[in-house]
Amino acid sequence: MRSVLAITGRDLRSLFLSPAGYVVTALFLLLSGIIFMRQIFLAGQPASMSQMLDFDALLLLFVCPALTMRSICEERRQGTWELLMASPPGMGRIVIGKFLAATGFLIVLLGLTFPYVILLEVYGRPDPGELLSGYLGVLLMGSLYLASGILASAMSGSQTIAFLLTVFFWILIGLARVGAGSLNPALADILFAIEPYARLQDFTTGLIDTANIVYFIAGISMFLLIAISILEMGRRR
Amino acid sequence: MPQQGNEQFYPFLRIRVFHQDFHQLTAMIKAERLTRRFGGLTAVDQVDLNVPQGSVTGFLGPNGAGKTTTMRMLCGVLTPTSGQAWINGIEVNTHPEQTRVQIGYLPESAPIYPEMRVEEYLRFRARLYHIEESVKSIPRVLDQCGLTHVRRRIIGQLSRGYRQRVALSAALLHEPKVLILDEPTAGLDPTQIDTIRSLIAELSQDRAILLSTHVLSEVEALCDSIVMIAGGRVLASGTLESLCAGDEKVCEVEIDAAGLSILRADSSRFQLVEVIEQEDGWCHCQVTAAGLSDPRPVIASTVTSGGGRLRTIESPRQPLEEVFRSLLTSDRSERDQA
Repeated sequence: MRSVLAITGRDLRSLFLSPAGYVVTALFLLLSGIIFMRQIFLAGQPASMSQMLDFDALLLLFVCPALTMRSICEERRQGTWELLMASPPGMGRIVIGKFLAATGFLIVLLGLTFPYVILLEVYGRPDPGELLSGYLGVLLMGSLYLASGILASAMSGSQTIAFLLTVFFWILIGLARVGAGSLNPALADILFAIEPYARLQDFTTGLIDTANIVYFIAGISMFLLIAISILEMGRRR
Repeated sequence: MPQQGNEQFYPFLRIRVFHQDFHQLTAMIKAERLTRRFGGLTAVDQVDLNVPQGSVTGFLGPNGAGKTTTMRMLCGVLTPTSGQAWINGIEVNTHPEQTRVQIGYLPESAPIYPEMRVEEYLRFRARLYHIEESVKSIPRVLDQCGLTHVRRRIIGQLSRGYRQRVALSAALLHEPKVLILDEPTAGLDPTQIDTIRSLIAELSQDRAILLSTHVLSEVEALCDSIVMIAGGRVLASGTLESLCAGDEKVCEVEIDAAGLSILRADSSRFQLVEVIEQEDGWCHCQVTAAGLSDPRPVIASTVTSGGGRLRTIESPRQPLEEVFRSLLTSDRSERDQA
């Protein structure tokens, strides 16, 4: 566990020190703020953050791959990946350490939107259950994107390709669901089951469904396990 | 190789490490028929290695010879296609964590995180290896590698020599019994090279060091034994003396005029190939003795028993560069013929 935390701490620090981290944070907060001011913080509007959280989830589709694209690619480029591979922690601990670092950054990022919640609390009466459920959903969805981003970073030798691979994968899943609906209802059902956005909407409206939690945790585990297997195979290739 | 020695359990790592009795088992780094293929390319082909404790073995070869690949297999970074390797008697592939904890690895170009501070990087490495970082280990390696005064500096702002030292200090942090150093002095200036070499010589007292290089002078300065590799195959291995030994039938002697006369008189046994008379009265000669593979004892006893004086006697040594070049040439011609 100590080695996992060592990797988490190092990566987290690297994310906070990198210009990419600041740019991502600034853009995320700026766009969230615009949505908050234009859509939520208006007289007569219900005191709910669901619109902003739905939009944040959409932003995370770009934010999360930007956070994870360098997690393994950059280590490979610098040559430090070889040192990690030669150190006692196995591949599982290295990947989990990196995932926790990215998730930690995401938590901080979401935490920075907390002033909006305070504003809403001052001027309205938001439902705390719905708020918590919404944030939990965005966190789970972001973590799913992060896990898939780490997989893309493990598969690719370039940060740009890792970023694009993650973004296009999720866009493709979303579009395929819409497109398949008109062609094949059975395929549409399958794609609907694996598409995360609809599940997020349950969370943002205050509904915590165990099936949705299981879906996100299973998805995160699957992406991380594939990443670990691919990296472990790299020793043999 | 059977696992011998004492077994110790490290609860924080949840692994068992077999500590070997070095008197029974001297090879700290051992490889047998280590082979690595990348697709159709055989990068390392049946390499055997044996590095005992307290010695430095030079891993010598041109670029692309397979040195780095071999080292990566020893460190567990790459899995061999076939063959086996042991670190301190523990098989690398079946017990990766146990072996990695015993190796200090310095990869080529000494990669480190440029945004971190020296001390901070060492703390990170200490946590990776589960070492009590602040109490003893970090000040020890900082002092050992002459980094105490730059410990708070950002690594990316240090000179290449200092970065190399930081990487080396990180490799020494967990007090490994085995050091695998891939071209540790590449790209350094002469002063920095001297510093790193002195450090390696100091470290070799109680460790097994495998040092990859293509700088022949480095091998001569540091190594007890040499493994020469090219095209993934071991061309030759042994001590510097054994590899560079010249034609033992020829001896170079320094004798006085009386000694020279004795050897000339016994022309049935000794043949003087070359005689250079020196100003101080001594003669430098090359001598062969019929039917003897090493004529030195016979020459010495003949000269001294006949009343002559002998100042030096030795078999001429080939320069390492020449040995290496001739091995490479013969290997290339063998491959071309094949």
